[in-house]
Amino acid sequence: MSNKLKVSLSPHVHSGDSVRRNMDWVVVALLPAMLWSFYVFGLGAVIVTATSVASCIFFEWAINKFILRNSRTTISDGSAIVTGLLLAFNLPSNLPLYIIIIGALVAMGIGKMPFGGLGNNIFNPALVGRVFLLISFPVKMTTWPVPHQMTAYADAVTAATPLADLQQAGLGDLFFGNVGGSLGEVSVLLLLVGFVILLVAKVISWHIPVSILCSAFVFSVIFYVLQGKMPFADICLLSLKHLCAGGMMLGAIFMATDYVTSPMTHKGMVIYGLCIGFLVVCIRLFGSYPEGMSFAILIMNGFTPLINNACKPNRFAKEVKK
Amino acid sequence: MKRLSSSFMNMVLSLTIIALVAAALLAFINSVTQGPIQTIKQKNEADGIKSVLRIDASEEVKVSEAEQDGFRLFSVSRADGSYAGTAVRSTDKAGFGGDIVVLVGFAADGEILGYQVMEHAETPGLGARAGEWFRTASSSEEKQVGSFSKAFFGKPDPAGNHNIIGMNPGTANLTVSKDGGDVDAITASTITSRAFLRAVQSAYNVFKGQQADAATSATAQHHE
Amino acid sequence: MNNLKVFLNGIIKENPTFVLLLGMCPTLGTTSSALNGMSMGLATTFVLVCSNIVISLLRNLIPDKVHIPAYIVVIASFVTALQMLMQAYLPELYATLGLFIPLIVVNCIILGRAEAFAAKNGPLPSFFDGLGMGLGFTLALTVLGALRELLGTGAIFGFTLLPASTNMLVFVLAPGAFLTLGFLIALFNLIKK
Repeated sequence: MSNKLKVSLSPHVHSGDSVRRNMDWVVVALLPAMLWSFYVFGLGAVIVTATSVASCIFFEWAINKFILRNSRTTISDGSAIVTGLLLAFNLPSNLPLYIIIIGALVAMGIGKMPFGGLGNNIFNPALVGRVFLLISFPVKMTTWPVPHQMTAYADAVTAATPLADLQQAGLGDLFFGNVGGSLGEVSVLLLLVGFVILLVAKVISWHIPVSILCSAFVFSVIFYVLQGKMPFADICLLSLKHLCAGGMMLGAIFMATDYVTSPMTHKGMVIYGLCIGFLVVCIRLFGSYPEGMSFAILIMNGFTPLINNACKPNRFAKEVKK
Repeated sequence: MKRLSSSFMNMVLSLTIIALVAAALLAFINSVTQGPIQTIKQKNEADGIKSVLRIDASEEVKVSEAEQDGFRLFSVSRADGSYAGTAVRSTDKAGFGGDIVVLVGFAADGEILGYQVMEHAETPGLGARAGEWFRTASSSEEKQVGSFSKAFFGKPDPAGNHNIIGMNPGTANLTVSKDGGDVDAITASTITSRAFLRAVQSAYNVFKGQQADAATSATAQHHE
Repeated sequence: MNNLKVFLNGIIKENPTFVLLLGMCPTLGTTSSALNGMSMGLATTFVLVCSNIVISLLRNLIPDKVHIPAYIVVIASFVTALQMLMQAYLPELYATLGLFIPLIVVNCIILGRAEAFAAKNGPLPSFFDGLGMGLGFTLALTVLGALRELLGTGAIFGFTLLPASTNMLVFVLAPGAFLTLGFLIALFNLIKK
């Protein structure tokens, strides 16, 4: 660390940083992708988002009130809204309502509250909800509506994920979001806009998303080269498509960067990101599920305490090794 | 009674005696159960073959095993000597999670009598459903449900044809309907379905190849 | 200590699954349905009762320094016998539980009870201890299996209770075992308090 820590006497100026402020910025950053999903998937996207957010807020409130019996509820800090939005972003837009409600219950009732609420959860609640649904209702979670069916909800025409047939999908369509997929993951462009908003507002740093994307790209190139079935140019294009397909961008920018479940130091963040990138590629190429982003992030969530332990900054006033 | 002291002699003696008694007991049980265990193992193998050929499990049959192009074929004849069908063990390497091994039973004319998925590593709830999917006929008409319950509970499964039992790979096109074939793929598991159907098709090809061989060669070979 | 108390101790106060957290491998591995859980529990009970009685009878004939190897030989013999008998006479059950039967040898409950109880008490109390612990284990596995079967396939002991659309496959798979076990332990603690 080159810049030395400066300690000054009081009075100190409050930077204005708070849970509420950060959550508000995350919501703002999610807005472009959300509006795009309303445009692409129409009514279904609105219904899924509304149900998910409403049930997440309800379950957080209900668990606080009736099971934990806290006098002060924590729903006003905005984290339940963010969880609800992120959960909705990970669901197909024709998902039956009861499955969304189960997902919200699992996100809150298993992913978040049993650990003691915001700040104590080991795993990202929205991802816990999504993975639970993915394993429980695999068919409904992996048939996505074809884009541009404005008023269809339950009757929407579905198709398989572009991930299953990545060579056929166009890079431009993947980048701008003209493909089937979960609500929030389709438009890479608008997720990147969200990333810039978060960076400018200083809600997250660049380390985790950038290291995930770099490592996923590098490892997928390596694996494809080892398979040796394609010319190198095709391999690079396919690896680039991997970055734009499925939940890669959404996960790297919004899910992996969750404060509570990711490492605290920059060094730790880079290790965490590199491992996620590696795991995603492994699961996508060799695993039995098509998408590996949520699994990879959850696995590394579990390693976060260890990474934190290994990457402690030097204690103040500790002798610096020459 | 006081516990025996841990002298060398005592330790050796007590351990030896315990081990000897245990060994004798197990040897006795082994001799009693060996017979039934063998019978059950043979029966399990025969039952698999019988079930894909739709032969009653209690019926006495004669199975002759052969190998052709790396596939294992089991020709089965009934007690009266009539030909009952052939079961072929076939593998496709391009399932979603790796190899898919199926045992397919064919009648003399090539009609599929039944199948069994022996080994697979497909996704639970998706590709792993291949074991039932291709032998169950789906409802021919879509159930009518109200728009609210459709939104809340989801749409019922669409009508389609994915029952391959009774099809003849020689006349039917055994590929998924997305590729222009006659069989509906498992919902959300096209890759598994393709691999499964490829395995069935190659089983059929081997079966037909063996029939052709037997017909052309003057000495009809009997593989015992 | 009277025998009834020894017996009940294993079922509630020191329930091997919910309180002592012993034998987690078969607990998580075999409880995909109520029937499987119960069968595994009963198989373990059989081995536990037999090994408890034999070890209690032999307790003064086994020198202290070799007691662990001696116990393991006794337990492993019963497990092997059980495995062979099951394979020969209950082949369908063996097909689902086969993988886990040899693991009974290293099931901590059995060696634990041999060490903690049978080595210090007579055959009759040891019998009741084995029976209580075994039935406590069986009870826990049956409840766990029934819950997982209900949530995962909508049935209990094969009787369908819930429609197919509510079946959550995760409960039949390994993660569901961990989740269900965790919440059951929490519930057990709440009730005991």
